[in-house]
Amino acid sequence: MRRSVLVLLLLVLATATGARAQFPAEVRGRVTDRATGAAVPGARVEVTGGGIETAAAPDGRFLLRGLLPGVREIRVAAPGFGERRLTVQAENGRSLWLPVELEPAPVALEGLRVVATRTEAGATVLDRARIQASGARELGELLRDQGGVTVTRRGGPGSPATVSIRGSGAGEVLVLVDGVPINSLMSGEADLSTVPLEAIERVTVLRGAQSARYGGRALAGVIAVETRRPASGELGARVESGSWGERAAALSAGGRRDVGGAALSGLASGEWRTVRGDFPFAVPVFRGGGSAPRLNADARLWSALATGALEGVRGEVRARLEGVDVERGMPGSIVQPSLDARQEQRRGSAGLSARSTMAGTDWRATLDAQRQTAAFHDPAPALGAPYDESVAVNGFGGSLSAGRRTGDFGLTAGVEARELRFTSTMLAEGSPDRQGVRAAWVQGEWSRSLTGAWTLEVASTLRADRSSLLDGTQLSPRLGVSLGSPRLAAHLSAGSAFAPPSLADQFFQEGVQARPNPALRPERVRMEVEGGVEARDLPLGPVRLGAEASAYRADVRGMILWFPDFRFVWQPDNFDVHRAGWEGSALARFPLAHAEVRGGVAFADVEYAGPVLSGQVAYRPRWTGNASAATEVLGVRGEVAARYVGERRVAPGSALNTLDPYWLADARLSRSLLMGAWRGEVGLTVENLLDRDAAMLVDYPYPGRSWSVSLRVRRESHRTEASGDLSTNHPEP
Amino acid sequence: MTRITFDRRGAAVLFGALALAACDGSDNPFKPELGFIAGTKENQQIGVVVNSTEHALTLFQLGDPSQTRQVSLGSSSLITPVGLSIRGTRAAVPLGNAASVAIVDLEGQKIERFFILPGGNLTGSAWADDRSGLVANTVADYVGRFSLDQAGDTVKARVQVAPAPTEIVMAGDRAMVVSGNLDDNYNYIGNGIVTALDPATLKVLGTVTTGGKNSASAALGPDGLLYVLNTEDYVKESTVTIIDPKTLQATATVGGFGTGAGKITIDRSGLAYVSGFFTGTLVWNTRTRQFVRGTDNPVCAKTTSGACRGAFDAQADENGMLYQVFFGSRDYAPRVFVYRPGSFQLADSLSAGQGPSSIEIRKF
Repeated sequence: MRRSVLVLLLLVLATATGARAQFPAEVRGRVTDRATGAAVPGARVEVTGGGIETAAAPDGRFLLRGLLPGVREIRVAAPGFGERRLTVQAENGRSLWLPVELEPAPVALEGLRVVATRTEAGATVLDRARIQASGARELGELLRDQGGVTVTRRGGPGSPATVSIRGSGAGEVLVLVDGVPINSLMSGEADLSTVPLEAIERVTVLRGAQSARYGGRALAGVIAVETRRPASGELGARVESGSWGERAAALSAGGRRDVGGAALSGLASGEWRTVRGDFPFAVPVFRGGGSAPRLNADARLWSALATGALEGVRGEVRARLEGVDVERGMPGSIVQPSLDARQEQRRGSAGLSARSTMAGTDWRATLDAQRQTAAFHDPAPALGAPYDESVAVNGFGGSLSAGRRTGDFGLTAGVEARELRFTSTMLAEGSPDRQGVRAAWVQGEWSRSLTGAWTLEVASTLRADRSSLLDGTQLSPRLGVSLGSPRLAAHLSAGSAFAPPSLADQFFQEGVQARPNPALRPERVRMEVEGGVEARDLPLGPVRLGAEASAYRADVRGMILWFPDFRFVWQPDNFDVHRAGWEGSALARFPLAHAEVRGGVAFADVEYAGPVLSGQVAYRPRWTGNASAATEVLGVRGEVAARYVGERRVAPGSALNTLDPYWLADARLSRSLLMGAWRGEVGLTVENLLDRDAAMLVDYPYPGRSWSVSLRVRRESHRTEASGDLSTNHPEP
Repeated sequence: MTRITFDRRGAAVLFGALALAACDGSDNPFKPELGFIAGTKENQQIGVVVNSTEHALTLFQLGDPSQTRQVSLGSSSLITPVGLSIRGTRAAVPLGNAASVAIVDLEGQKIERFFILPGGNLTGSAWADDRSGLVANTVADYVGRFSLDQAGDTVKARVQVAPAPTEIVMAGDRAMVVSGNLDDNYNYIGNGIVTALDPATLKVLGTVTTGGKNSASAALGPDGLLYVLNTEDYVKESTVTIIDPKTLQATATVGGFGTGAGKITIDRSGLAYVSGFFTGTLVWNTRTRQFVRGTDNPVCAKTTSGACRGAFDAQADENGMLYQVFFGSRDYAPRVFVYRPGSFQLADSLSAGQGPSSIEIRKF
């Protein structure tokens, strides 16, 4: 069966539009404001996934060259306007005219904590096109190839995945879905495997101390996930099948209509995924060698999202309802496997946000409610007594901010509040059952256009957080300076950040081998200094080059690490840690060859600074790297990506028993399809292409070579409009 | 005319030199063919330290402690060794949560093989003879017997013993298994229990209840009696119960060992060294049953504030020098402290890896 599916897929991939000679097409057009008809200079126009992009000229005109014949999606975006995606039929050697009208729709970032309306210097933005091109199933798979980001997974697909940025712990990275934190209140960590990507519009990776904008836990970085909102009427579906009994399906439907001068839009999507999960792995020689099955590794996930938005000239109101349900086996380590341990996680949240501009002041307000539950049980663990534990968290939060811009200056201020109530069998008697967080912040910006299209920006933010579980007020300042042009940019920033101890750190029910520490202090980066440079889209003959590099020093005072005492009872404690490093990446695009090569390397020195322990903190690789190459031939896009994880220590303060570095490579083939009013994509992904034995953590092996095939189809109301433009091949005005 | 005179010191030096010369080449046990574990020519003793957090054994020469060797026990975080037993040039190291025991070739400083006891936590071990040994599974409440001659790695010969067995001591032809008598949640069921086994057949020869709870360690005295340390609950004072292995009778239980005492060793003179992380090492004479160094003046290395560093284990060498293991804490690095015989004056301190929890001193 598997073989026949593969053969079928390969046949589909092979049915390119013929072997006849192909000549690139080009698309010319003009971007205008639908409300006024005025040109939109600087609008970004790109071929989705094709590596071809340009910016509209001062009169709004643009030219895209080098399109291979076939169905292509053109994405047009500009600050202050809603994004548009247009499907065109690029014909052999033809030049097409594509007028694009953009709806005025000032960018409104959703959520409780997002206060900026522009991309942070040094941030990585993964938009929907890149998410889909990656073939990633969930957030952990998407982020594992990002520079300075390390994803730790405890097995194959469906297994828990946590994220580290620049050598941090997982509890030092704040993960937001539409502004609502999904970090577990118990562990402080976010499980990225519970964030499926089908309904995600954009993922932004912010590296470094971000508490000045996002509050606690944003000590090493922030992962901001934004769910989709429809720009047009659409109907979509995706099915997938793969190794280890993996099956998945997703459906989405959305619409948009004008209601008395305002636009009303809505989107509903659902996703289901199941994986049997059992896979063979190489048994260590001292365990007898050979191969054994990894059992009790199944997983099942349901997720649903419904959003609605009412957008008018003066503002916008948006409502959102999201739910995720995960159930999976917890196979344990290969030394102490468990056949019966199970985990159930549920997360639901509802949010309402509003934005309006009145008398030159931009007002934003958000309200959200959330519920998280988790249950863990094992009637027959390999070690210790049977357990049946649960945790439930209910909470709500809100924020209000006002921003005003006068000339070169902008000032924004806001307040936030969040109230959480929780119960858990895992907490000791007398533990708190609520957490209240109150915060206020103010941000000032100054920007000045210089000669030669350069812009100088200075931004300063100060935030104060008070938590009912912490003493005193946590102050987090940040100052950033950036100098940029369309092709070159540099930034320098300094700031501080903090991450509070998790409930488990402080109040975990004392167990056989673990003991909480109520005296823990918050982790704090007192002064992070970071600088970076970036070059974008530099032409070098037929090649477009891009590169960026950044370096930082961000010592952590009181990093919370677990350490065993003399009875081998593990307890968290605060340790001072030196943390410094750098990241570099480069990109070369070959538009005419429809090829792209990327590569990056990151170095993170995370060493104990105290008098007792020395050397790199356990499980923090000093070196990580990634490389990828993609091209499109005969309508089939192919990509090979590899990632490197360097040597890891496993014991505090000891260089003994370090884990060997490893490389893993994945490959993906995909082809766009056009089926009447529907467009789609069929893809084949092969993970661990070279079938290497690897594991980030000892005793938690990754599966060997595996594959998955997927089919995505989508019908959009804009498609007809765009095709109509092209089928008549408008003469250029 | 030259007059040759000797003062008292010169005479001592001359006498010492003559004595050494007389010994050299005749009774010197130095075996250079053993390599590192031969020690130095002047001192053939070797210290073997179990590094719990580093998953390793650290070997050092008592004659030149700057010379060390480390044997890795594996990288899994489940490897949590806290003790070992040595026979010949082999060590059996139970690997704690990894539920297996490593047989380490100390001469070659490498792991010879592993034996697996699926599920549980392995702590105590003892060699029954040159080719076989016993190991205690403290979670599954049994003792298994491994043999270097067995075909597979899984230990199949097992016998159920009292709950939470943690230590095995050979007393003549019987193995004395010390159990804390704890339930699955590590709560006390009752006083500790010692189970006597025939190491060849694994037949239970009898049991005896100790006079205290959470019995965790034991040592055989030169008088042939078994001294069982009852740790209690880290709040109540620890005690030592004296048991006759032949009659399986508990003859006495002695208090005064401070709180949280976790390890007892006894030297050839009958001095018992009882170590606890809260107290340091207490010295108790098994012959007189009197404290040589009690809780009011324990043997310990002081911190900068004048407090005692705790001790996880202490063992005397053949010269009476006491080697005490300090596991390390957040503010103080792990060390092996060395004390002079008799006075227990701090003489030296050694670095012996991360998380040291146990020490054995042997001459090979």
